Amino acid sequence: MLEIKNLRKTYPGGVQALRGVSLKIENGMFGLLGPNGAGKTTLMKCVATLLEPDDGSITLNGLDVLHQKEDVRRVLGYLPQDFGLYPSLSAEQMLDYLACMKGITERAERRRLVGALLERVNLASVKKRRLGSYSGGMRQRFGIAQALLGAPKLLVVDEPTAGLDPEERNRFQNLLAELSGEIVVLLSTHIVSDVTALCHDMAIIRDGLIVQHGTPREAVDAMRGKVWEKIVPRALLDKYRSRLPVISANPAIDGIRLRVLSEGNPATVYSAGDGFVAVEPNLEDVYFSFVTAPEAQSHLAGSGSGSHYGR
Amino acid sequence: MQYAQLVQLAFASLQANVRRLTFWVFAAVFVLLALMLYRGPIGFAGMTASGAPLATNADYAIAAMLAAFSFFLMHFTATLCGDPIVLDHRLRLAPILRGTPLSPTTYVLGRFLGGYLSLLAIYGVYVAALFLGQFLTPAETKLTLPWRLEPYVRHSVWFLLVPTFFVGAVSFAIGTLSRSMRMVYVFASALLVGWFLLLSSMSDSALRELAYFEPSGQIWLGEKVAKNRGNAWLNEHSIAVDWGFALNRLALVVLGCVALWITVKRYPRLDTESEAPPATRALLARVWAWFRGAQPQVADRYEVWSGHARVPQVLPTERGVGLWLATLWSAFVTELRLLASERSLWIMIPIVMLFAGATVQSFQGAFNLPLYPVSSEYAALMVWPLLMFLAGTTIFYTGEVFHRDEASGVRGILYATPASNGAFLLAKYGAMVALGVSMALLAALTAMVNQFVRWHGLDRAPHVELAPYVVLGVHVVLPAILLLCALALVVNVLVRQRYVAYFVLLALGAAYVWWVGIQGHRSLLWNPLAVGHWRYSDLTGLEASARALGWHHAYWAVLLVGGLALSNWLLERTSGAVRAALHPRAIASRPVPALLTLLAACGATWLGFEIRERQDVRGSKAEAEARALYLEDTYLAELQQPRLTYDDVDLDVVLRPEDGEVDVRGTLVLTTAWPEAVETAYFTIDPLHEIRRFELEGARGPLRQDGEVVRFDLVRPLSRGERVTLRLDWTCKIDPGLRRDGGQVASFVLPSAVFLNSFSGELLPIPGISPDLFLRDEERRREHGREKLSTLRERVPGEFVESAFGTDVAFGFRARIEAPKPLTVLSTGLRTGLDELGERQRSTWQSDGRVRTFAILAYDYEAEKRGGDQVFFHPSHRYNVETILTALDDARRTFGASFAPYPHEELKIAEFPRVADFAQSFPTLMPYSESIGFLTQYDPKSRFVDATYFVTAHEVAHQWWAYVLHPGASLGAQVLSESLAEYSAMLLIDSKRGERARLIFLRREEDTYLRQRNADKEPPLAKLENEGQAYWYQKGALVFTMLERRIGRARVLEGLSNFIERWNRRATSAQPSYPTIRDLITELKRTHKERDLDWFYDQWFDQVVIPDLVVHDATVRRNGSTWTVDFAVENVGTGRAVVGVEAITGEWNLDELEGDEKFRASEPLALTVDAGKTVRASLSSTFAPERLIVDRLYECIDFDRTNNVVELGAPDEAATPASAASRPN
Repeated sequence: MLEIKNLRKTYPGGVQALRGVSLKIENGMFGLLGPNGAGKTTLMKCVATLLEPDDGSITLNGLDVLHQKEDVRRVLGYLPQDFGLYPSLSAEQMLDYLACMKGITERAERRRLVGALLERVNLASVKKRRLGSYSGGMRQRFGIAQALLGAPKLLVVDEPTAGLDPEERNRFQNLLAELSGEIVVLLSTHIVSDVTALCHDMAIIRDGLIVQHGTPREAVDAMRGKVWEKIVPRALLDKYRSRLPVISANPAIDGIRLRVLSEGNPATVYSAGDGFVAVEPNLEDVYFSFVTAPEAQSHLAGSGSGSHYGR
Repeated sequence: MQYAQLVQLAFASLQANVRRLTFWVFAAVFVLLALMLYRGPIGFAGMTASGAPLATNADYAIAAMLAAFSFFLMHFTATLCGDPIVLDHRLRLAPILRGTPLSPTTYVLGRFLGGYLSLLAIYGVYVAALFLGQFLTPAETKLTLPWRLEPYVRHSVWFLLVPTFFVGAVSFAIGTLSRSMRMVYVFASALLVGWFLLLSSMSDSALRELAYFEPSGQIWLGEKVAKNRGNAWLNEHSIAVDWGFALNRLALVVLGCVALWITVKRYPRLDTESEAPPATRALLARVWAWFRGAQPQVADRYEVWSGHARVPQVLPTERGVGLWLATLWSAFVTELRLLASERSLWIMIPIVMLFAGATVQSFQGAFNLPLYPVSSEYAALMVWPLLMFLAGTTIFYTGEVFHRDEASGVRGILYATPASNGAFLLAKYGAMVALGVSMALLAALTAMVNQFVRWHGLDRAPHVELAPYVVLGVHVVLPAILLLCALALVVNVLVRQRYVAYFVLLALGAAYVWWVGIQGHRSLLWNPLAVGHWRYSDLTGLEASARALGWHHAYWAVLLVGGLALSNWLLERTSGAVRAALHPRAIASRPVPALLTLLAACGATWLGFEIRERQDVRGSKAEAEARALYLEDTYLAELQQPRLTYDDVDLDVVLRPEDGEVDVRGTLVLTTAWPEAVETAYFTIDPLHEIRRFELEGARGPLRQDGEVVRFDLVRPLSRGERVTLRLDWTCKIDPGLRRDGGQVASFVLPSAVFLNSFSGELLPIPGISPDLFLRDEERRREHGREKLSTLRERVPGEFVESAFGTDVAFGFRARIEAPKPLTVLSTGLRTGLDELGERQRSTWQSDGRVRTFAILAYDYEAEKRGGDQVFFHPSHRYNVETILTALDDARRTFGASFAPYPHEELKIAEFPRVADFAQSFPTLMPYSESIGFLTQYDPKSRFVDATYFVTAHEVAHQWWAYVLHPGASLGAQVLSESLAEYSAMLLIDSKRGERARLIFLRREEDTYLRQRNADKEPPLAKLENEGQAYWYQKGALVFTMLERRIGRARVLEGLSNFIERWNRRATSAQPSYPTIRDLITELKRTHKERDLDWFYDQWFDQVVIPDLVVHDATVRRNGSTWTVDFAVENVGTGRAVVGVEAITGEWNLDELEGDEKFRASEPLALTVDAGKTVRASLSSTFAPERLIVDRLYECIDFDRTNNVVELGAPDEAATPASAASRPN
């Protein structure tokens, strides 16, 4: 289990990236959702022992992540958001090198592992080719392979599916799902469907704070009966926005499809006119309600529904 | 071309650069630099010289400063100009920009202009600071002329704008097309290395020709503007750019434009080119693709991905040494792989080979002669240039290696692995060391191949020894590489930013070169590379030197370990964790690096104290200078007081070279030559000596010692003819092992060789106060606020003049010298006995006749004898022995016949085996270094002087011009020894080698004098003290040669012979006194009473003049079989010139052994041309002349001989006057 307590980090420029983050993460896939600049990568780097927080603690199965870095690194698999590879090395050479750095020193075992991992991520046929000649997707797959070296207990993957085509994303999700049984997989993303598909637990982070923590199902259930939809003319969008707790506004053929968070029909509650239909909520509604329309959530909180700030 | 966008793009780049902190840091440094030229300790091209300093804002100074500034900041220029498009690609901005309507041409040129404008902005700050510096009050030692603006603008164009455009444009082309800044750095390095090599390998005359081809303009400034000019002239005159230099600048601009044109043409096609399959490409295309770093894309066949391969569960190994070693090895191998894939390194390899090849080729011995390709020479002389080269590559590549992980985005992944900091750092360190060692090996291999080829070229069996390379590699190069790499790594870890680390390392390097190389502070404690502390023989005759080197290596190795431990400790693997690493809890959790750092600091401190105690026995340079000033304040007046001198020396000497010590016991009889009685007897000694007995008979009480000065008060004043006895028993303690401060070797006792003499204070106490105790260096004196120290003065006729060198009277010398058996001991006089003492032997020496100095020399010599002439040499340095023996014989016979009989039986030349770089003559024994004669390689067909023959002749001549005729201690004393020895050697060359050899010799003498003289500080010959060798060697010899032309050689020889006889008689009389330069002139004048040559003596001995003849208005008339040439000769220099003018046909070329068969010269017409005058004259010839030449036979010193020849037109009545270019003096 990974436990994060009151983690704070302020960068030298004064930006408060983490403002007291606390999380308890059980084995399995944990999704961390948040917009750009919310503090996801900072949190991931702290967990991956690459960034020193100002305050707080992180423990992994009893290990103090902040002070027992070397022990943590022995059980850590890390795929950064933005990573590079040595372009002049082949995939096999680089993975072999990283395997050795992870402490896998027995040559035969290492070769077997490297071969299997490259096979697993479909790079076996090009393992002798230089990494500089790989496409973006191939590099991303290589990144996943290296993160899996050494049977990690904690897998930190920071926006891993960015840049992958739908097919590869799908395969990657399958791969992660297979791995996540016995270990903690911390998946940072702003692609909501990844979390929907993979995570049994999730949190939403915004401005350095966890604004929602729970299972995706709980989060969605909490919004059941409260999400209303209406197609409105494009010209009236601003008017609706100013009057209603809009959580999303997506273009539709005949106007804009508004989704509104409301305890009752907005036509009644907000005198917003007819045409609102109660719809089945999804995780995107949850995400948008916390990230792009927090006032909607606060409105709900004020009316007794409540969101989870930590757990 | 989209001009508006071009300008916008350029200014956007400029703005972006101006916002960077680095821009302002550099600007601040440049401002500081500029202001320090006016106010600070930085000097440039004689700015701080005494006499007439070069004004900081003189036209020449501005040009020279800008030329040097723009050229030596090559890497800075290359970085700013080479980077713009590389940066766009790095930031992934290029595709966005190229997706706009911006045309590729506009984009490429706009980005170049942006970088170039940024560069000019920074350099503009420097120029502006230089301009504003004029309004500051200059430092006391510097000069600022009234303010001016125009030269700053003009020279900024010639010396800043143009060369930086060239370097910038080529760097931009390389950077843009290769998309690699490393390629740009390599280009800049190659240009800089090539420039230095070209300069160091050029002879003086070639340099003159190179002036128009060299890109920085520095050679042109040196050769065409400043050569032979004094600062006063340079302060007053503007620089006029000639056509050759203008073409040079134009060529640079054109080359820069071509580079830009290629970039504009190729850049848009770079991406499409990379898509072509490699197999179809021709070799050139492959090279081009390699240069661009193009990598063909691999097809991603994801449709075959099953995605279900089983991944085995492989857990990390348990922690321990095995794991650490395995990770270290893997990281090291990977680092090597990454280094091997560096494109720039593959370009660096030929540069290293070129560098090594050119370096060894450029080694020259005396008189610019090449040396025989002996391994020890090649290996030893290559070390410093190689280390300088390696320092540059180490700084650069360590930065690249250290920051590669971050730049390539791998760092996050790597740092999240459990591998230790030590494995990461040591792998990088190991890779850098491997790179350095590889380069050193490559350089050594190149040198050996070079040796091999050269031996073949000499038709000799190749003699390539590995040992010298190994010895130097192990003792010097490898430790230096280890240190350089460690230093570079530590700075990169601590500073963290690559470019700041470069800056810090370059600043450290510059400070080191300044401190050790220029300031001469060479204490081992601050001298990691041990610059100036060893010569090859120190390392081959190890023992004592090995101990000293061992201490040095241990000290720096401990610091190295400490530095690496500190890096390990403070490596910022977790962002923001450096402060945390200093927390006690962090130290407790990972104690090894911190403990190791602490231990290393303690160890280095302890070793430092030990080294100071054992090695720096003479103290630091500052301490030595302070001591010298104290001695000067205390004892300067004693220089003029009567002193004792040796009358008889009887010694027992035991050489213990293995300990660096010599035991001396002696009975020394002393007297005085001074008319006044001696009341207080002073002696100068070495304070390191262990004195057991030092007793002077007739002294009142025991000696009183003040460091180097020993004083006895005599019970009764000692008068001429009276004698006292000094009984001596001491151990000379020569500095242990490596010499302190790496200074000039006066004496040494090394396991490989021993050299001691009677006037250095090691063997015997020097009677009186030695002027060498005082601070003589003019620059250093000025630093201490002291005037120039003069220890000689002009003497009044009839006044007693003491001896200038050696003792005031000649003494009898006997010595019994014991030494280890392999050493052959040599000394002054004759060896009268040799006793075996087991492992040691004792030789007995006795002077045949009285002498004034003596020396003891020991080495494992081989000897060659011919009658009384003997040569002692290193067994494998036999090459020139025959020449030396011939020169000894020729010199003994010629000088004996010309001046006076040689007073001794033997003449011995002995080789200093790389332990000294000088030649010195003692009665009967003349040691000199191998590079002066034993290894110099002379080709009679060449245009050089045969150094071996000449130096031997010169040193033999000192047997007369120092020891038979003993100069008095007066201004100009050097003329009586060095000038006359040089002139005597010329006589021998003339009589034995012929006119061509004489003229080659005179040409070299004149050229050396004109190059080395300081026009603002040159004293007349009669006022010479120790201002410079060019005066007493070259000018002195030229003056006697000119005199020969005026009065004839016979009269000169007669005068010299009479001079010797008269003064030798006086020197051995009961009332000895010694001659001055005035006595020599008087003697010479006696030989030609009928001719008034007072102007000659006055002009050449008491004034400083340099005639400069220009021939012009030459026309030819033909009258039957006679051609008449009318011409004018003008003396635009100073002083009177008496020369011959000849009409010639065919080629006159001293450099050709076989002269042109068609060459004919008319009877020379003697002309006397006074300064500022023009003499019109005519001469006739019986052949059709092609040229008119003034002073073909080097009869008079001439400032510039290029104006002495004029081509003659067709011989008819309507001939057009021809004229040589005139020039101001």
